[in-house]
Amino acid sequence: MGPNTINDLHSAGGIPAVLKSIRSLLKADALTVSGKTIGEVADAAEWSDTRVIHSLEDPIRPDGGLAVLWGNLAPDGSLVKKSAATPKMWVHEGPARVFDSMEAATAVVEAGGVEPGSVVVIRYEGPVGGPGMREMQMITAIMSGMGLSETTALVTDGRFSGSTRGPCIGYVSPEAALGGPLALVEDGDRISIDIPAGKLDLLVPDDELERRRQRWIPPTPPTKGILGLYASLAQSAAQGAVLVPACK
Amino acid sequence: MTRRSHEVTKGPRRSAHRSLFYALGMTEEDLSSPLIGVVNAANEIIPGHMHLDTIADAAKAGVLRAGGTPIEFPAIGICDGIAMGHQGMNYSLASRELITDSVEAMANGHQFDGLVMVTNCDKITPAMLMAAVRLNIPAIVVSGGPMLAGKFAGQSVDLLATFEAAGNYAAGKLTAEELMEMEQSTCPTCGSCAGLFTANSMNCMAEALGLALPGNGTIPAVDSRRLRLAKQAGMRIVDMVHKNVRPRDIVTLEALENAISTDMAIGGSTNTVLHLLAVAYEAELGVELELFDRISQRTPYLAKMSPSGEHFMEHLDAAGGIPAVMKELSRKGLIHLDLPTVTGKTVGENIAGTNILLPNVIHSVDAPHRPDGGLAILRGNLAPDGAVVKQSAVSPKMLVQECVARVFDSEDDAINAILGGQINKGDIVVIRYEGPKGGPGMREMLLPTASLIGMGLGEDVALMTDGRFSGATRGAAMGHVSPEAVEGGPIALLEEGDIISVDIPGRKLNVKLSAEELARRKAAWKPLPPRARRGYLARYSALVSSADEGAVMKTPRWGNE
Repeated sequence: MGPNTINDLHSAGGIPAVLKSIRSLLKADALTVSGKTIGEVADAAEWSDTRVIHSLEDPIRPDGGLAVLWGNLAPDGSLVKKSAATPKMWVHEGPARVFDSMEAATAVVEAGGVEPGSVVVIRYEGPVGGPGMREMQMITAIMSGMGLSETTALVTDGRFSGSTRGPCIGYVSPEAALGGPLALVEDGDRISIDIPAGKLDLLVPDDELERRRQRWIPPTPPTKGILGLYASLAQSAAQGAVLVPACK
Repeated sequence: MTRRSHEVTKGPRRSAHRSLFYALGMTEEDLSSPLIGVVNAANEIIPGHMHLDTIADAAKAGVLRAGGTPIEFPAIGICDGIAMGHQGMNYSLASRELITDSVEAMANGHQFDGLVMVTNCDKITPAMLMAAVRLNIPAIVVSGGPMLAGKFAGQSVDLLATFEAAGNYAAGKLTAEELMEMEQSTCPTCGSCAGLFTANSMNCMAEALGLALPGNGTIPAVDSRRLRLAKQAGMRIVDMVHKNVRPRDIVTLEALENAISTDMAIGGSTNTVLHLLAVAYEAELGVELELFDRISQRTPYLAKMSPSGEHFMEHLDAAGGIPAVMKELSRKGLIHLDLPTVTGKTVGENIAGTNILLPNVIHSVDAPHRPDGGLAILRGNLAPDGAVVKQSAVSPKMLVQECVARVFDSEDDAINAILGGQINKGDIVVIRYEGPKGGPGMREMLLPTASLIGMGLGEDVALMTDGRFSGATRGAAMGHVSPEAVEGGPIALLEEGDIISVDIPGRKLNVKLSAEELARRKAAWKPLPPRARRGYLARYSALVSSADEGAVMKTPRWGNE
């Protein structure tokens, strides 16, 4: 993680300066509310501090901050902020420790009950499962605070805070509450993460997964109030967790 | 003692949370006091809400005086008057659900210990009541208060006069200059429009339910008693948090009956039926439409308020307000007295020292305007699940009649026909596909009724709809017809020229057609296509229940019928 705050970015010229630094990647004639095109905004910007905003020729890394991972554990995808994960964890395989809520995981991790090298799985925290797809900030902050982000990954159908750091893969879709494969993981299953290759896989044979799917019982979400409404209508993270007009 | 707000203020795991409270400028003392959410529905588009910042400030002063920490947050609100007669009115009833949901989200999102709910107008007050019983954390409602009546041509007038003026103008009874002069006189102050329309009805209901302090229904907005009321509300909520007095402790079935009885005695808006049904739903009290009729039949009608009569809210207030009405009803045993309220005392204790101060405004139960209440629920082959009419606002010659159906599939078509002189004496204007799902949003049909009266047809033409009416509606106007047209209710099967039989004292609304003919028409019927395919109204029309259920939104996926 870097040392700069948003104030440092502002002093270095802010978003207009960032736009100037990636000028060749922009669709220059896109309109903005300023009345100028995005190209004009970029061209008019002042950008001189290349320690805060690097150039395309001398980037901090050659590829972007976010990565999408696909695989049999996330058929509709998942997200990781790889710029905030230590590179030695970008490729990792470990045994799953499964929890059905953030609170359950937090209690065990805090008590030292998770082996370094594991993959902590927190499920039923998606748009429907939460409901509301909570941010898993508590557990990611505790794991980081305990030094576990150097050795231990996290996989969830919940979200993260913008302040989350570590090898944390979230927004897994489809979510467990809607029958996504995250619902089928058991303690001890091996999970394989390969961020450069964009892969997130559960190393369990298909026939075993099918057997588990037959035995799976979906949870009962709330029915009252705004959360009942939300759980009834929300789509998975891969669709932006929007509400559809009516359930099918 | 553990408090709800400790979830966000106490313990090492809440360090970051406290950082954010300190960023808000709070002190450690603030954090160890009850956190009181002050829901402030002030905005610059509703005259009844334009002054709510001063009410909210007074409420916060009360909270601080009593040792609580007030934390203000906003709520939205639609001006039903400005929304009347166009697409805006599709959003009015739907906004009630949005406000309820947003108050739930804010109260639970931050784990407030209690709420002061600063409200005033039509859909905002019911939303606050619904949110209070849904959340069931200590809550108190404080309203902004009614507008004063205006003066035009030597008469006291309210907004209804200007709505009816459109019809007067179309009939040549008013010049353009007179119309302009009237417009600028009918709404002289801040506050909710001066008649017993829906806003004032619901603020009176909040008081009668026990969730607002005495005086909440009637003290005029410009009267400084409102500021004292708000301060007292702020002080009361802190005590209620300490004693854990919750909305569902107050809003019991008996409290609801008190509210309905008061409603019938003063001739409140037909919308009170929808909203009280919805409050009952959120409080998980099983209440049917029948309850309103049973109570109406046994409750004397004591106050003839605009639109049914001459008096405005300032007169009801001067006469003793809701406490005087409830005291008078209690003389006939029609009020449950031993119920808790937000004053910390019972209903009986609250009204004990009250008397009627203006007997021509609030009649005695021994000499009521009528022996039964303002509203009636009708049933029949046109309204198997009921229809609602404000019988106190129906001219006696219209109470029992047969009329000729003139059928329209939207409010706009009906208004054009009325103002275009195409409606005859003896007709009944039927406006359908304006129900909760069909509208969508169950629009208020004030313009058709006001236009009829303005054209001089108010005593000779009835109106029937699966939509709603405004609290300002008067005339033989039957609404909330259920099931609605888009769901295949019999109102969808009417054809131009059908004979409709209305018997309000007999509680009947029928079309003179055989069951076989109705069945034949039903077999051939197809609904109109849905009017909203995207956005909030699409979701609303997919999920909203029928008028006889209070038009609440339900979530069917998980079997929550």
